[in-house]
Amino acid sequence: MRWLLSLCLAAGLSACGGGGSGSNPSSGSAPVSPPPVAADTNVLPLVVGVGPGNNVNIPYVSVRVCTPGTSDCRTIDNILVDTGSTGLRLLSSAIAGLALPAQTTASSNVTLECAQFLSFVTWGPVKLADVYLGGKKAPAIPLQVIADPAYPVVPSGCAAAGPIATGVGDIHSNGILGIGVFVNDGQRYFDCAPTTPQTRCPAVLTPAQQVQNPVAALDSDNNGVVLQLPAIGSTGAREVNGSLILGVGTRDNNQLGNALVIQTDSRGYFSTTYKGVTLTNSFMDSGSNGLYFADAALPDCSGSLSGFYCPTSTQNLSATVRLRNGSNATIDFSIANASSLLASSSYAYNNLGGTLSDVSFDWGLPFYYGRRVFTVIEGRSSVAGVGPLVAYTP
Amino acid sequence: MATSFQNNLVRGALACGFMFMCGAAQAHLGGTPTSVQADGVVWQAPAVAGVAASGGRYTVFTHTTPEGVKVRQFVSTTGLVFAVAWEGPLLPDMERLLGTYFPLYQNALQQRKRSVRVDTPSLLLESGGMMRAFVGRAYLPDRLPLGVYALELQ
Repeated sequence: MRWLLSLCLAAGLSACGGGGSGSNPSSGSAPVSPPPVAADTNVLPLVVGVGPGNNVNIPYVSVRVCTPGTSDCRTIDNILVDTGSTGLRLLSSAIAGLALPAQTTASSNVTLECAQFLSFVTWGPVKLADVYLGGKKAPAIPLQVIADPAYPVVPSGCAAAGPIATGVGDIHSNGILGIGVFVNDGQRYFDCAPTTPQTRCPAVLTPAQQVQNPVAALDSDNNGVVLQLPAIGSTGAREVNGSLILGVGTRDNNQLGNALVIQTDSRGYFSTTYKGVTLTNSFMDSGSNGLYFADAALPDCSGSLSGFYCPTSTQNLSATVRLRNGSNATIDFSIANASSLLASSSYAYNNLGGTLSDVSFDWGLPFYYGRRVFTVIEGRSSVAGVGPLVAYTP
Repeated sequence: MATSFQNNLVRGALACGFMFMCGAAQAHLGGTPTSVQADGVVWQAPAVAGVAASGGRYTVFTHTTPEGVKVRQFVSTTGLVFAVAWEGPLLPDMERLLGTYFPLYQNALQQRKRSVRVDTPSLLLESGGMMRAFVGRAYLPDRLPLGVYALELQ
């Protein structure tokens, strides 16, 4: 998730709605809904709707975490599904009363982590839990507990890296399920004795000791995920129900079908060309709640919505992405007036967009409506090839 | 409580002393070749100088930190660090890298927008990417050497 905007909160809208509807013409080239997925042990119901953070275009699932090897468990709802980060991070308040053992360092200290998102950091201990995604179990994997009151001192280097997320209002959820292309999160860890200031005690962790992508730790269906959402109209929808499917090409319900495959570089990036400019650091990210790209021809919204696009009429646009087979594929999309959209009572929009630097195109959640979007983890084999890669149904 | 308060005072004094010592070399963006070398010491990432670029208008010094973050500092022929760029699994030490411009960046973070951007006459900054794959740059628009274009500063 990385880059959530406090859309509704910043706009001062009481419930993200109550106003008139956006008067935008239909977006013309919307994809059609993929067939719904039947219940199965590798399927998690996915909801985009009213969430705890009062924001839009945020996909939520429920996750069950247990003290390893026991039946002492909590089911936590409103967990944000983020293909743009790695690892499960849970607010301390969401697992109150659940005893999870800490991951300890070689010097027997609790491992502490500073995880870097683009515009904020999460701070807290690394703990071990059996994590259940649907009917599948990732046994005793390292996860991060955010804002654990037992570890209030944030190292200065971490605090300088961005505002520290401590609650539902900061991450618009009870936790973040990072299921991108990486196996481990590669962040900053600390090995501090309880009595020393937590400033200069960096810990070097092996990849396996770091916070893990829970999907990669499953015993099967562990090579990646599919996100599937139905198509929605140009004025948005109040609630949308889709699926998070574990595995790629491992069962009937996660086959590639007619999906187009994009091989990413080792960082998860690929090339998108928009209005003649090739943006080499482009990515697909379920944790971004808009389509983010640079276009000086699209007017910025004013006031608290600055950073979103507010064209006077809906713009039908397209970009091309470079496929693994060497050809280019065109993706059509629309950008509506964000101010008009957000005045409606919807929480799901396929035409919300905003500004970004001129080296990236961020295909956020609006891209996912009416599609199946695949992510294959680095080094893992699949019917689509060896990860890291992404694929999508046109 | 009194004891810890006193400890804090001592620590504060030491920190000031350190900053004072570094004062001459402080700056980074807006700094000098001397500050580039000092950055390399602090980051445990000695600066490696490239060949003169853009028709000799500047030299790029590259740091690679132990965490795998690459930082590039663009130094003009007059010895000014007029641009910096970064990429890596983490963000670099932005406080030191941006020097006196750091508060502008902090302010941009507080906006909590998807795009972390500062666009003022004296500083242009763009920070983007994902966990384990951050990229960004910052430069001084009103102090670019003649003939240098922003797009080449990556």
